[in-house]
Amino acid sequence: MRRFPAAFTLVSIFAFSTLLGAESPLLRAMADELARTMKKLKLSGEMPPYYVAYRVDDEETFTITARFGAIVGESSRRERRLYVDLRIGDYEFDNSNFVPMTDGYRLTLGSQEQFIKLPLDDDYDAIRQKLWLATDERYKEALDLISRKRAVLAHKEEKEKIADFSRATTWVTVAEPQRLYLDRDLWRENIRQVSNLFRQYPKIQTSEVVLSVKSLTRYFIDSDGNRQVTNCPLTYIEVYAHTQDKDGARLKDFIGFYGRTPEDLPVLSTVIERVKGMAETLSIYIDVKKGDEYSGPVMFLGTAAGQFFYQLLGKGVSDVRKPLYESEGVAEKFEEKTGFLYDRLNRPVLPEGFSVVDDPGITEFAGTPLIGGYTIDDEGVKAERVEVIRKGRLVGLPMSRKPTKEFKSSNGHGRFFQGRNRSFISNLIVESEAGVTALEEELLALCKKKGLDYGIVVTQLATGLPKTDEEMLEEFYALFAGAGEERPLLDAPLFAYKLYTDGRKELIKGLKFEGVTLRVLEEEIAATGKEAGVYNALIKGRFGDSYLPVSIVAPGIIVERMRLAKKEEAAKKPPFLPHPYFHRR
Amino acid sequence: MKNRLLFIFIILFPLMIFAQENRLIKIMETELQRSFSGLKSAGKEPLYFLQYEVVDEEEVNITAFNGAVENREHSRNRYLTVDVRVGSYKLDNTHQLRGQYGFSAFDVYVQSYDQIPIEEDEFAVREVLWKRTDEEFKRAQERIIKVKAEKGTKVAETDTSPDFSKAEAVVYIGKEARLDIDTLNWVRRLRELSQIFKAYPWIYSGEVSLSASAVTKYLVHTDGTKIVEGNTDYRLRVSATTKADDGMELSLYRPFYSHSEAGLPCDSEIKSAIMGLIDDLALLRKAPLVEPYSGPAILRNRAAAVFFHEILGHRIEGHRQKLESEGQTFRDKVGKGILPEFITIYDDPTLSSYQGIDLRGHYLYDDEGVKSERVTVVENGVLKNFLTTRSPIEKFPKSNGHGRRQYGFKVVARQGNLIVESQKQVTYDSLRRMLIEECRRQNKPYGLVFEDIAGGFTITQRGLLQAYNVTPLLVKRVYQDGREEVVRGVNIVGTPLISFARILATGDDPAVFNGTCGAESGMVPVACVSPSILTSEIEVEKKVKEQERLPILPSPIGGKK
Repeated sequence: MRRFPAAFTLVSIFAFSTLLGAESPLLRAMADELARTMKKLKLSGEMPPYYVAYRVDDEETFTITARFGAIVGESSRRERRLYVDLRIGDYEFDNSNFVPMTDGYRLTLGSQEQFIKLPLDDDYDAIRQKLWLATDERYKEALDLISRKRAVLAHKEEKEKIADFSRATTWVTVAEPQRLYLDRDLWRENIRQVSNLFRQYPKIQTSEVVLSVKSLTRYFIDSDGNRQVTNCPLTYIEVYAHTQDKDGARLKDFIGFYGRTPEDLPVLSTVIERVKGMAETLSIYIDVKKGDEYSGPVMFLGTAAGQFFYQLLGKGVSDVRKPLYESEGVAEKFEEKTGFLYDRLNRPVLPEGFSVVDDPGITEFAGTPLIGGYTIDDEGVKAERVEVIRKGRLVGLPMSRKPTKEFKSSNGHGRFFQGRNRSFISNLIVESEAGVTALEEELLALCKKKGLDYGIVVTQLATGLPKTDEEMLEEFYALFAGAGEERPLLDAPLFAYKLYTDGRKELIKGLKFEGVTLRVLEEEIAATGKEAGVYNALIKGRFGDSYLPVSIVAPGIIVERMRLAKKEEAAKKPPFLPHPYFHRR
Repeated sequence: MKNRLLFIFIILFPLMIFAQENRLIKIMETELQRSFSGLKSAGKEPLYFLQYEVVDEEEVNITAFNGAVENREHSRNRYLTVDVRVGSYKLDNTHQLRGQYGFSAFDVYVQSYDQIPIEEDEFAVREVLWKRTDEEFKRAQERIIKVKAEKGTKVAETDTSPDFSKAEAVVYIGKEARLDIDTLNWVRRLRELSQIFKAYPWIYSGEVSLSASAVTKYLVHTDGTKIVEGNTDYRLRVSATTKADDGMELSLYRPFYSHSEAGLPCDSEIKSAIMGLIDDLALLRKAPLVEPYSGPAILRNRAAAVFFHEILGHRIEGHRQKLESEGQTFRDKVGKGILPEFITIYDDPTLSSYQGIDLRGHYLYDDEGVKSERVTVVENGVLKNFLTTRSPIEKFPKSNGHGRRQYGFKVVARQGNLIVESQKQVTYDSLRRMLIEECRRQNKPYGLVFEDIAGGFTITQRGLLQAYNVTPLLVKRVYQDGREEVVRGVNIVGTPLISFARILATGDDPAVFNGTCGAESGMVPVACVSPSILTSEIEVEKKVKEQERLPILPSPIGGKK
């Protein structure tokens, strides 16, 4: 008897807080305008919308940036962004999956996210007014899009028809909005201290340390009956360093620490230690010789293993269904190459011992936070674990509400990136039955068998390195001159060394992979390690204006045969004058 | 005793200078000297000029929409732009390259920039200065090769002036500007003020916004100039948008400007501006579409100011007479009449206000470190002078302190405070009577009055060439019997310059337009002052109908009062 009232109290608090959330003016305005839209919005002689979703991201971001021990800037910003997904037609054929010509210009101008700013105040009327105007605009746009889409299709060979949109189970969950607390004075000092480490590394030209703390509360409702308030915070420290070697080739390094909240980040002493390690490696690399061409076994360890699987597997199974382009050209150039494993469905893509799942529901791996996850995806679908590879075979895909021929419904992998909802991986977990503890020995054994003096070990690929303003400008010009560089399937190694059969290690640089095909995955993986590592990354758009957090958990691997060739580098002269600090008088 | 005094004087003098030293300037100077001496003969072409300009920008932006705060920002940043000149005064890396189109023509205007710490940490600042200088120096060395190659192969340019001119060294250490603003109070005020719009459901969006900024410029260059100049800037803007029944989008705004927070209008003043705006928008919404028309018209003072800035002002910017890609409208008109005799125009950035109204185009030193000067551009109708920078143009070899830019762009000649004055002034009522008389004379049933004009240009991309245009916002017909009627959809056509040549008289009612002007060298604050003008000829047509429609559903707020 005594326990009953207590349980009752708990429930009533729960019910009360749910009610509170449901009654938030923002959510109420969204629900009311949505209801009115579905009931009344229709232009005479035209179709009414058959599906409408409102997603509002209430995001507060705090950033501190430091260079060489001094604060460059501090910013704090809160924004409520409204995204409207309005569809006319029906599930089979609607206005989506179509990129109009005008989007090409929008993409090239770098503003890829189409959103409307909503008031920060919880003012029902003001919010509703904005919702009304945004919906009206989107409806008219949808009418225009669907007729243009029809026009483009009229000139195309009729392929198999696949529905544009799928039905999904609805979810109602209303969480209390959360705000991250940050001791700004403390963190300012921490960031300054981390940045100040670079005064110990005279060979590094410039560096930057960025702390970003984001509180994100998402409000999602749609005409299917979804009604969700969820929190998805993100905190990270990113450290960049740049320098040049004696030939003038650019050398960069980058290290990131990621988590949900500031408490998830490693303690300061760990950050300092790892940044020191990074700065030391980069300093050593200046004098490292360019590697020779090589053909033989390559081992991918730590970050490099995660990057390897992201590039060859993660991207390959993501965003598999491409939209229809009104004009193929500029817009496509800005897109990452993805979805290339789709045609291997139900066929082997990895050795038999491998199994891979994508699980948005896990939050950490062996104590390291994973940042790719979420509870509900960007289309309001509950996140599900999906089996991607079973015994080496590609059996499943991360799915959004955009169906493919084989998979008709979403498994909660609809992720908004660069202006569109795409099917995308979240936390990709790669496992192998045949893990060995002594991977190094395997590599050496392979080398001996092939009669090689050494094998190559890669610890990091040049993936996701931030571009300098200058590089971005160069790329921008190149794109317009029509010379958009072809992106390789696998990025070049950033850090690598030769492992000699006598156990010696020798750093190398200036190499890139050549002739990498998907066969690497299927036929060339010779051995895998037992221990898995975590690769957390913010996948950035071409010009860094939007990002998508993903995590890869993968063991180290040895690829039996890879070719490495010398990288052609646009070398710039090293600076004419020495660094002012290290040559002060 | 005398010796002693002298001694004290000598001791004190350096101390006084020392007190005037600015820490950031000192750091910049140290790196400037090191770079200049180290790089002078490091490349194929000699480095002959180097400039560092740091802009410290503190900003507060608050926007309220229909009674709710939509945006609230506070930021502070320091941006560095490095100017490098290699070659000689006669021919250097900044020389125009012809035959470049589209994006490759960019580099005439765009420069790289970087952020430096907001803390005066010597080596953290110098690291950025060092790196940016090195990059700009290399780029300059590459570019001058192209410049010289082109010189050898293309026909000579019309204007053969050198690329750079000498300028006097100046030292001016002014006060650094910082913002001191009661943000919370403004949030409350803007929320309340924008609430007014809610009673008018036919207005789609009613906004009141405040932008306050404190900008301090730190500039040093190798000719010996050192400048610290700070300015504060407070802008309040009231705006509203609606649609006419045929779907035409209509929007009006009222700007307020002051150098100080205290100079901004009080609530009752803002309220009456909002009410005036709503009244005008209501008239406009129900107004008939304009018919094609050619005949006499009045440009009301603020509208005339925008018109002068866009149509005349941009054509007297020096570099336009030199660049081969420009129209060079006035190149050969110096000494000739381009306006009626009673009109005099000057640009004077040294003026901080005009008849008690703060001017936004005020600055003491330009972005090349040259002291700003009052320049009489048109005297009694005759074209006298151009606005110039340190890049000389034919017959105008010296800068008059109009080299301006936003950080990250290259300096070109820009307007500051453009002032239009007239010796043929009448009251506005008389001017209106003269309009009606002119209508009778030309046998027109009515004349036009342009109450409000928005200036602007179409931004396609940072640094691309823009076309200047003016968009009439509020235009009235004045019939011969004195009746007035608002019309909408007005588009000015023909050559607007002709309207200037045909000015019959002006009002005695000068008004200030404070705004932000965008052009090749980015966004810069400007002002223009003009009385109302009566012109015997202006040509308008109906705006091309856009595919806009009214919202399908009525406003969800539904006229709650």
